[in-house]
Amino acid sequence: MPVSEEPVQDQAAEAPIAPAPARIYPIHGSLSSSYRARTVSGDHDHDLTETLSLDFGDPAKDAWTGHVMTRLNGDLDGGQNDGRSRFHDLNDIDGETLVPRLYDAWVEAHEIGPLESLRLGRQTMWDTPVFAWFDGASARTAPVGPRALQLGIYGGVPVHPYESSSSGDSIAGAYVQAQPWKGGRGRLDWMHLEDRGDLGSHSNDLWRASVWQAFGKQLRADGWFTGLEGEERDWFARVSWVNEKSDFTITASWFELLTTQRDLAPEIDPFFTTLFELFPYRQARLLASKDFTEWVNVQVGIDTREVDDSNDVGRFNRDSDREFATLTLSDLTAAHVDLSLTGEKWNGDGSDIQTWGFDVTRRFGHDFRASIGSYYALFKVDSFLVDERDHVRTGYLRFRWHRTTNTTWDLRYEVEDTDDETFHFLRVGMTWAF
Amino acid sequence: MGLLRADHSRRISIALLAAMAVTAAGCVLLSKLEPSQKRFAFSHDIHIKEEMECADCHPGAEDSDTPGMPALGQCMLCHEGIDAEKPAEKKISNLFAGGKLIAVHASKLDPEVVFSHARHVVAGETCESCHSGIATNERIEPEMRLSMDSCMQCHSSKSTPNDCATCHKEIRADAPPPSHGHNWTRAHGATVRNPTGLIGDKCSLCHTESSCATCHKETPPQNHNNFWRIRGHGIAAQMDRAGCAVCHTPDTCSSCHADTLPQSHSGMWGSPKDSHCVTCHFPLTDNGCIACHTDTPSHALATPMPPWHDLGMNCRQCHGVTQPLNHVDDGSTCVMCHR
Repeated sequence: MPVSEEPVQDQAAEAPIAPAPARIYPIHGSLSSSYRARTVSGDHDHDLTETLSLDFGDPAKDAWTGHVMTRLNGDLDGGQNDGRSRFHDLNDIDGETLVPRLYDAWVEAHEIGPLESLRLGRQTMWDTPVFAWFDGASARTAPVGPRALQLGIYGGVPVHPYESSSSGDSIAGAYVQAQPWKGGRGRLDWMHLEDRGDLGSHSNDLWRASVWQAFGKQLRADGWFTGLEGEERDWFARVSWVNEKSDFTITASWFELLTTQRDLAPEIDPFFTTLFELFPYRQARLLASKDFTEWVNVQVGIDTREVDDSNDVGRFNRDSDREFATLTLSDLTAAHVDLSLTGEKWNGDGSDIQTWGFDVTRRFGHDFRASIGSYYALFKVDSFLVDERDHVRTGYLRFRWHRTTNTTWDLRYEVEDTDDETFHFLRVGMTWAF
Repeated sequence: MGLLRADHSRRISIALLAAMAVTAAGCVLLSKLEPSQKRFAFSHDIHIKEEMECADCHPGAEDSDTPGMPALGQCMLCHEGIDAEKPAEKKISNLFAGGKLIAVHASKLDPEVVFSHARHVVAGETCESCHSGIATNERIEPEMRLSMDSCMQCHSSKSTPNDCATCHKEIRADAPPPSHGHNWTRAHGATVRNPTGLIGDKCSLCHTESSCATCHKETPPQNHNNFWRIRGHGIAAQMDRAGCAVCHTPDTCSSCHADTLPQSHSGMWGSPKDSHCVTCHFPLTDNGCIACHTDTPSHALATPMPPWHDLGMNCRQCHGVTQPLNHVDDGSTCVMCHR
């Protein structure tokens, strides 16, 4: 599937990423604590969230390493479990006050005989044909020969955090990868998924051939071809040119889904039960970023998606276009003020989403940053004869303070005004890296 | 958008795949090719066999930060006589351009890197410690360039400081390198998947797996506000569900939709006013009721799909054309009711 590298308007720069810790082995990581309050007329929600990330050992030196990432969400005013609260969300489904999530918990042995690594426990594999999140084992051989040939296998029980039972679910896969020529890498994947759910059982086999190629330092290309159940499923190609000297980046990609996807294991299409069939379509993307001076950057992006057969166009299979542009002015004054302006437009068969926003950030030394901004979104829905417009205006204030080398404080307040109601949002968080 | 939908699209796809295959084959071929006649090059091996010392040509190798490279005049002290009888392409002057040794770039360090030959000599290192095989080297190739990996391995094995500041003036684990510019959050995926081996590609120098998970599992995009959670996400998911799958795996949709009432389900929605009826029957739209109401009683009366039909068939190819359609075609998915 065409994975956009980042969500629509990413806020990675504002993410509670722990400051790079001094790697005081054998244990390091981060602990984030945050309080979140949300209110709207007649309704409110107060939550506490703890996120712990731990790494044990140094892969370059230690025979064993490990990693744990977990989150605990506490609902201070009781579970919003009646389905009618304005703040009912995924944490409220079970009606519990405390909701733990274990994302990763694994130990890894390094260089055991022919194996480069053997990982046991709850883990996520990002480079498989679809993301594999499972409880089990994975092993990878050390690169062999001048072509750096590697084999890998994995298997276990997939993690479906909202399912009541994992009975009948399993995942297994294998891959072989090599660097057969300079700057290039090839990989062949096979993946088997078993899933048993209320709406039926699935058993799917997926394979993918992938290739990556770097042409010098500036040009890269990659692509894949995927098969599912003996049929062609999709293919993807991308070319990226990055010139650091001229601060110019351009990426073009093409994705094509070749066969209709319906009722598959949730890893392959997690949305079927809600959005039904995904019909064949093709999608082209172009992303460009250019620094014109040391303080002016422009990013533009265009996506266009078209369903293969116009007879398949419907509510959940649309032709759509998306364009966005961001202008960033850095260090506008001696006071280290940055300004960014973003506009975005989605157009999909009568349904439109238009947004624009600005952000002004002032840095006070290396330790303190304050931002103020606003964005506006217009959702226009004109599906057949229904005509609806929703206006959403959001204003925010954010403060970020690196109090010490290892601690960061975040404060964020947002007011969100829609046509019908006004939401208030407050988040106070602290991240300790150790 | 009409540009994309056409019969020749498949041909374009095949052509692109073929182009990728040709490119890959070309890369293999090029990597196998070697020049039929190698260019005249400097040989350390010959000079060592003549019992010359490193410092004879690199005067600063033992007591300066930089080793110093030989100048043409310096070489000519010996080569004036040696080269007199050599053909033009074999003369030592071919190794110089503008009075500077051409091969100097093979070992040139980035100005941002701090390195002192003298400090390494004082610490007991020899030239061979870093320049492995230099004494028998017959031509200077780019592969001779020292890698950061080899520096770090040596430092690690000798318990010498290995943090960024040991060798770098500006690069720090807590300061993003030049490659992490404005576009980095959108473009970093390609680099992560296929690092070229450049220093800027080595994510693990500063990041651990937990760095990835912090963003990809815990940080929502800016537009995921309350309106988005309640309503906006559905509109976006209709246009590009694949974009949602970047983060939302594997069963978030069904879990929330299974017990969260849509925002429309309030007031007069149900009995006795039954205003929900008009959302489907007037003005005839598919509102996705079937997502939750899989066994709506009144709709169970619809004629079931004949057993010889399957879900992949296009109903409208026959019904409404050669076969009767007993109600208005509202554009909905037929199998919603005719199951």
